[in-house]
Formats: sequence, C-alpha cells, structure tokens
Amino acid sequence: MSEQTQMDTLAYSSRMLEWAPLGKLLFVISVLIVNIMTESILVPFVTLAIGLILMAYSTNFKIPFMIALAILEAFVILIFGAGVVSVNGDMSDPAIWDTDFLWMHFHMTETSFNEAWLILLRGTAGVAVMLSFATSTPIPYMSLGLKQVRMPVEVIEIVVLIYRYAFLLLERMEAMWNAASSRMGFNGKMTSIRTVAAIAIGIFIQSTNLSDKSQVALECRNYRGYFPVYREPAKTGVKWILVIIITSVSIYLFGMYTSDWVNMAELLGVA
Amino acid sequence: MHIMEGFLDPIWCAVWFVIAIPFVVLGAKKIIELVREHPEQKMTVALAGAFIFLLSSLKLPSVTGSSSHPTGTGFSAALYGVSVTAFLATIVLIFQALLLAHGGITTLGANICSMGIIGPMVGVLVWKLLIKAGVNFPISLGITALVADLFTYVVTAIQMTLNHGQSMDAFVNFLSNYAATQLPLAFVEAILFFMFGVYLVRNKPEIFDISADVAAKEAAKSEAKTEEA
Repeated sequence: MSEQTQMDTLAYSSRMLEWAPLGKLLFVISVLIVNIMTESILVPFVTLAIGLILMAYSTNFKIPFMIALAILEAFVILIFGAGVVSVNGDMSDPAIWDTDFLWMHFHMTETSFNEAWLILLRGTAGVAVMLSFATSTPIPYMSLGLKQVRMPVEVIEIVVLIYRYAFLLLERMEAMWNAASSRMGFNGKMTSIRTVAAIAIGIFIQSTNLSDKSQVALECRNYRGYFPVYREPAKTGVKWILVIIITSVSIYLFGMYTSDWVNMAELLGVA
Repeated sequence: MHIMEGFLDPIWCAVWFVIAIPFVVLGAKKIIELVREHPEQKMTVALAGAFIFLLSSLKLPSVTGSSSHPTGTGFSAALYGVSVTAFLATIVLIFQALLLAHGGITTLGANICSMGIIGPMVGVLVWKLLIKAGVNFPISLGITALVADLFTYVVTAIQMTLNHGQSMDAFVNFLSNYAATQLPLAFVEAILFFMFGVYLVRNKPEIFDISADVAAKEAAKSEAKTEEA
C-alpha cells in the first residue's frame, strides 16, 4: 500500500474521526501560524508536544512503516534546508565559520546559526501537527467541513472527486508498476525513465477513459451536479473557537515572554 | 520543489499568499463556471487533478541518490491554462502537505506561486512559442516541462533568498544546492514528457487538438516502417 492509502486507512480508524473537521483544521492552521509568529525557540517545542499528543491519541503511535519513512524523508529535507540557511549569514556580521566551496561562499554567523535551529525545530513541529490532522481526518471529511465556511459546493465536490479518483488511479498505477518491475522495467536509469513514461501515459489514458465511464454511470443514476451526503461530520461550535483562541494566545504570549531565553550558538559552544 | 513548513517568516508567508490568491480564485471561478454550465466536465477536471496528484507521487531516480518526482504542472498548464493549474496545484499541494508531510500550510502561498503560477506561466509561454514555431509536439512538451521545472526551482531559490540572506551570495548558494537534485530532475522530467508526447501523438492525438497533419505524419511514418519490414 502507498503512503496515501495507508494515511487514509489510518484516518478512518482514528479516535478523533468524529471531532469537527473544520475545528481540527482551524486549530492546526492557528497553531502553525503561531508557531512562526515569535522568535522563541521554545515555541516549536510546545507545538511539537501538541502535535505528538494529538497523534498519540489519534493513532496510539501505531504509525505504518511507509508513513514513518515519509516523516523521516521530510526530516532529512528539513535538516538539509536548515543547513543551507545557516551558511547564508549577513556578511556584515562576524563569522563563526566562513569558507569557499567551488563557486559558493559560506558565511555562518551566530544569527544565521540560531535561525537555522529555529527553522529546523519549527519545521519538525509543523510536520507533527500536520500529521496529527492527517491521521485523524480523511480528506472527504475535511472538504465537507468546508461547507460550514460557505465554500462553493462545486469546489468541495472537485476536492472530494480528486481525492477519490486519485485512489482509483493509484490502484491501477500500482498494478502497472508491479507488472513493469517484474519484467525488469526498472533495470537501469534510462529503462526506468522509459517505464515511468509508459506508466504515466497509461494512467493518463486510463483517467480519460474512467472520466467518460463515470459520467455515463452518473447520468444513469440521475446525477444533477452534486453528491448528497447523508451522514455529515460534526459542526464547529463555540467550544472549538474558544479552544483555538485560548491555545493560540497562550502560545503567542509564551513565545513573546521566552523569545531571548535560549541562544543555540552559546548553548552548543559555537559562538 | 516545495518549501517546507516553518521555513518562511510570517511576513513572507503573507506576501506570497497575497500574490497567489487572485490566481487561485480566478482558477476556481473558471472551474465553477465550467462545471455549472457543463456538469459533465466535473469528472474530467477532477481526473486532471487526480492525475497531477498521482504524477507528483511518481518517484524518479536522481543524481544524489534520493528520489524526486515530476510536478506535472507544465503539462497541466499547456492543457488547461495557468489559472486552472494554480487552482489544481493548490489542492494537490494541500494533499501533499497533509498526507505526505511535503511542503507546508504556512508556506502554501509560496509553493503555489512557484509550482502553480510562475513555473507553469513560463512553461505556457515557451509552449506557445514552440508550437507557433512549428516544433515537433513531443519535443515542445519536453522543453515545456523542462522550463516549467527549472523556473519553479529558480523561483523557490528567490523566495528563500528574500527570506534568508537577501544577497547574491545567498541566491547562488540556494540555487547551487537545489541544482544537485533539481537540474537532473528537470532533464529527467523533460525526457519523461517527451516520451509522454510521443505516446500521446500515437494514442490520443485529440487531447491537445494536435493538428491532423502531425497525426498523419506519424501514421505515414509507421506505414513506411511496416512497408520496409
């Protein structure tokens, strides 16, 4: 199973599935915004804790291997990106490390070093919070939650359809992938590219055929341009709004109060 | 090429959102109009979005040992235009951030600008120029994908430089570091879409309204080959 399929399965079996999807989405967005609003390096730790607690409640930390791999991949990208930020310090500031490599000039300052740490922690916390949402809210639930903010029905339907059809196409792609793999289709880089191109066109043709067939099937069922949903998810109430405001304001005030508490360069002895 | 969550300051997140929103709203309006007038087109649009989503999950080998994926937005822009691509890219980017932890929510505006607007915009420009100049369809598609991909990565480097460093040195550093994976990926994507173009000309020439003479030329070539055989 692919990451997407595993995430979908995980979300449908979550203990937080019945919570209001719009409430969860707004909560995640507000926490992510507050996460970057202050310069405090302690705020990402608070955000990370929120993400991990929610994820633990939602999944009991039974994270499938493929998803764990995706998280690890995201973390590697974060480390690499933060590393590049750390060597782009202000030239007018004194360097704690300065060197040339090929045509590039690396100038690491105390400020850029601290900034890189802040970014790395913000990113890690952000990934945890986003995954806590993803592991508890299937995309169709999220889309239906958007009805509450008067999102046009057509947009909601398209979001749901894209998600649904992505899974249908994904199944076919996996079958093509396995078939190609068993026929040495990924033996060498050029062969791999050729195989991927053949799979891509295969899926494209399948998608156009599927669209024609789906249209006929829906017309047979008296389709009038929208799909009725009989079990709508819970709505976001005042409680959710209060939780969101209290959490965001608390984190923000905490961030303002602790903004100069930790200096990573001094802490790690590189300043 | 996504900017991960937490990499941009609030001010830059806001700036990129402000730039992206008009394109996304315009795309959404176009799609809503299309769907209201022709409800039967809903499936086609949805499957186009699903196709972009799937294309972005096709892992390709890259030079650094890691794997990268095509964006598919160059292809989508050539097929549907920039604003529709921006809207579809927004949905795909939200799915990628939430389902795969690639990209982010606060950096969504910046990612829409690079992957869904500027890259495809330049791609469409190149596509129109090449088609007007009478360049072969698969080659045009390959070059469009290459240019869209390269511009996506140049714009991402600019976005990072504006936030971190704001100097030519910083821009060169970001550009050079991304080049290690993005340059080979852009060429691989160009080859991929060239082959894609070849398959399209043979199997679905009506998709791009490819002129009848292209299809006729292909048919004549294959006939000539059969005769030779």
